[in-house]
Amino acid sequence: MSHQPESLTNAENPPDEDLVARAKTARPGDMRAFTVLIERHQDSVQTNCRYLSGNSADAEDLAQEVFVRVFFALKRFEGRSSFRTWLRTVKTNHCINYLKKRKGAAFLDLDAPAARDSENVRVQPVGEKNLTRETQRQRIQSILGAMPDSLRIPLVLRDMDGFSYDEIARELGIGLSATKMRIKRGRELFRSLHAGADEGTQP
Amino acid sequence: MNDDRAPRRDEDSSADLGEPILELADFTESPRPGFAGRVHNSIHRRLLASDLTDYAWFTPIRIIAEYLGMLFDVFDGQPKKRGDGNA
Repeated sequence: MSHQPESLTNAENPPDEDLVARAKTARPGDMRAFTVLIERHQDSVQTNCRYLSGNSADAEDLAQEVFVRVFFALKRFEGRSSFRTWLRTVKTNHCINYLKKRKGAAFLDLDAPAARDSENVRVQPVGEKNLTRETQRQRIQSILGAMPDSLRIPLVLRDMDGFSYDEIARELGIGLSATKMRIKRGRELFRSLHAGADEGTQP
Repeated sequence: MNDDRAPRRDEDSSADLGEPILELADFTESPRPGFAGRVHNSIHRRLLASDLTDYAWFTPIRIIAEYLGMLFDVFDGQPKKRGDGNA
């Protein structure tokens, strides 16, 4: 069994659709094309799984399961949307099902104590005046980690994943106006926590 | 579905977006090294489990088919006529 993408990554940089076609027609055990697809999308899938689930310990298992599901469903993928869009849908459905199982169907309850207290959420300052890319990354991690599910999940779907408001409302099973309100509140909270972290880094 | 990772900005007023929000679109984290290998292992385990399940289903069916085949061989595939073998 070859796990190395070999010639697929070295000289070429084929588009996703070519790799999907190669993966579909590959002999059993030939994972080269699918490996390139994994390596190309693993960062975004891992990040989204982490911040949709709100659980860094389970994020990698969720991301692995997303790719396993994609592998077994690949034969049924007809290419009516791009591979990236299809992958995003599989990932989001899987993460939302995980949340429903873990927290129940009301995991987005805006009246939950965590959501009501969101104004009191604080983020530890990262402690450097001139933010490097890594420090900025840590700051975003801690802000997202401090946000309640009810505001973080719509924000992640909108501003990290690029779903439209309609799509988010459908995925989460809430109304369009509720979706817009949550995203607005999520952005406000994100912005205020970001500003708060800025103040914490002032000398 | 929207094909791009960046949100449809035309749905948002410019006041909604800004520096810290736009950073989210490019924010990614890498999984631990060897992620693709772990996905492969997971796929192979599923394939093996699927093969074993198929085997578990089809083995009894094969045994019954073989047994019926043997019965037909014993009786030569012909039902006995009444009175055969009796004087």
